[in-house]
Amino acid sequence: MKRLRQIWLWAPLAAMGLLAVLSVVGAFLGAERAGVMFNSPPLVVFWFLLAALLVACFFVSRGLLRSPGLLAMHLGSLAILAGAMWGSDTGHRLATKVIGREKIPHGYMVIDEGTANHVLVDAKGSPIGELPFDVRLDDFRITYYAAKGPWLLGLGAVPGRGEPEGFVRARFFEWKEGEEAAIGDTPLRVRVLQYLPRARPVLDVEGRIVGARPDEKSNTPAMEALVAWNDRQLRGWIVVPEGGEYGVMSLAPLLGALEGAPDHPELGLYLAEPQGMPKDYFSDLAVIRDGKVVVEKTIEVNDPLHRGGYHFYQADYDKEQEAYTILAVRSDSGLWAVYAGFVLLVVGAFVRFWAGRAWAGLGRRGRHGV
Amino acid sequence: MAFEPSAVGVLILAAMALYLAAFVTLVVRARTVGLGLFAVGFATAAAAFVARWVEVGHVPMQNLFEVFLTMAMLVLPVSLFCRHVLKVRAGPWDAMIACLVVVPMVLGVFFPEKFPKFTSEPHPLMPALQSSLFGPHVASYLLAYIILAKALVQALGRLFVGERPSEEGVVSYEAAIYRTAAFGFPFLTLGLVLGAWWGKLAWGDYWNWDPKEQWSLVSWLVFLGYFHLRSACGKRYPRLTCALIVLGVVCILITLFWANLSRLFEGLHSYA
Repeated sequence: MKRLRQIWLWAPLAAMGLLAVLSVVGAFLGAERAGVMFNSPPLVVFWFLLAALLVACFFVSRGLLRSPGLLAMHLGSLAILAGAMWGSDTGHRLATKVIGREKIPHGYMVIDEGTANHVLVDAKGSPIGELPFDVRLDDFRITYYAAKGPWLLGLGAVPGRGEPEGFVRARFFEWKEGEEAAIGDTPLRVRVLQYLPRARPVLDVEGRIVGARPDEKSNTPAMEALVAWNDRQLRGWIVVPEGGEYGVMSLAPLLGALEGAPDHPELGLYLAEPQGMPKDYFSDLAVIRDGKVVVEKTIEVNDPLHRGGYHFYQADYDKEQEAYTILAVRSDSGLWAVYAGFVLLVVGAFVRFWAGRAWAGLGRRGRHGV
Repeated sequence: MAFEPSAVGVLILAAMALYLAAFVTLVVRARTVGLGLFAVGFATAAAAFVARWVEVGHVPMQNLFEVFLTMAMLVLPVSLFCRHVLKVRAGPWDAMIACLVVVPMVLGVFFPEKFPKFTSEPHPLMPALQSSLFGPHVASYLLAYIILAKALVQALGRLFVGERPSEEGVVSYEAAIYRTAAFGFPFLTLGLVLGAWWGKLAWGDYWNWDPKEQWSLVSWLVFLGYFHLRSACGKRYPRLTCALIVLGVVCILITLFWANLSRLFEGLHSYA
């Protein structure tokens, strides 16, 4: 009996110690390899033993049942463990075999703007399964922090067919007022004649921009530039409309006038607002079942969509044209048990350690003289 | 020396000087003056915290510099609470904890090129950090860290000075260790759980086996081990329980520093 009591005394400590040592090893391995290690068969056995140990606590330790805080902490730990096991890859495979539930534990969806998809792929892009409903991407967009520094000058093409409105594909280069600069690796050169950090356009009688004037109330700049190609020149203004992110001066009059010039009338000189780091990513999603939209939601980082037993997270996007989004899809199996465990664990910890014993200084004395 | 004479930098320097002066004054037992200096140091650190908040436009807990700034402000309130409510001895070492907490910030302000991880350069919040759980998660941890640092002082006192007869109005080292650990552990638990919840919302998984996550679990397990041992054996193994407290704080330091500073532990928390 004494031996049994000793085993009972040290078994939880040994389990905690082993988990701590394994976590240290996992930290050195890195997240990916640690995930593999903690889901390997020997560790699956360990998780079951840990769960069994927690269950045994309720039968062996009478003190546990008398302490609501301790009880909640142990129940919480057990719920987290059970929920995590149920939501694991192995748990999903087991559920398919035992209760015939077909659910994919995790995957990704790549959806083009304006299209719907229901195919899940793995991290390498290979299909791994299908959802019982479609997810449509109506729009993907990024907001940026305002960046400090001068506006960017670049050579770019006006959006073509199929490209999102307002999208600028331009190659930017260094510029300085009054100095001439080469436009990337092209034979074009540009001299910035004037730069007005706060300006408004000057229009002719037909409403065309013919210049700009300084205006302290404006938040957008204007630039007068002289573009040269050999002995030919084009002088004009780039005026950014109020509240706009860029302004453009068409180079068609210059390039179109030259023999052998690239036939690209939409080539322009851009003055674009510098972008800071991304502030947030948004995907406007619609879930479609049987041809009907059943839910619509704009997801962003920290605000996923939950539908049909899956969570959809903003994971990645088309970095070239922002024309598609990549969603991480996670099954919600076992999640509510884990959440219940979180609540029990935290409430239990505060009840156990704050109610009574730790506050002995206020007048009460605990069992251990504290 | 690339000193940035910003308001926050000056306040941090002043706070360090005041905390150091408080430590020295408390060592020579000039208690009233020492506590006064400690209080002014706290006010200075709090002013730096507010100034930084205004400067960056979000609660300043984003990087190591801001994390230490927050902790520098927490030491005195924790010390006073422990002294007056938990009846735990408050000596010069509380001022020393505050002083040590300020050191990384001073390095970041004075030597940003040598200590880039402690730099005071403000950065906007990346998308994952724009969460209502950001403040509570980090604040819970920082509060736990300061409280458990105080438990460490008591444990070191028990190990190296030995148990002394209880002074008037304060409890023994043994009881002080238990009370401070019991005060801090729920915050450690809350920080861990809030982090897991936030991870689920931001990244899709409440546990990613990220190195920092794993070190934070190790810290939690060590303190849990302390309570298990204390509950099962009472005061039978004082050195072992003290060693567990020391080990727990070492794990916290690894979580806070090594997981951020070492390339060994690249992960989701590398920005912190």
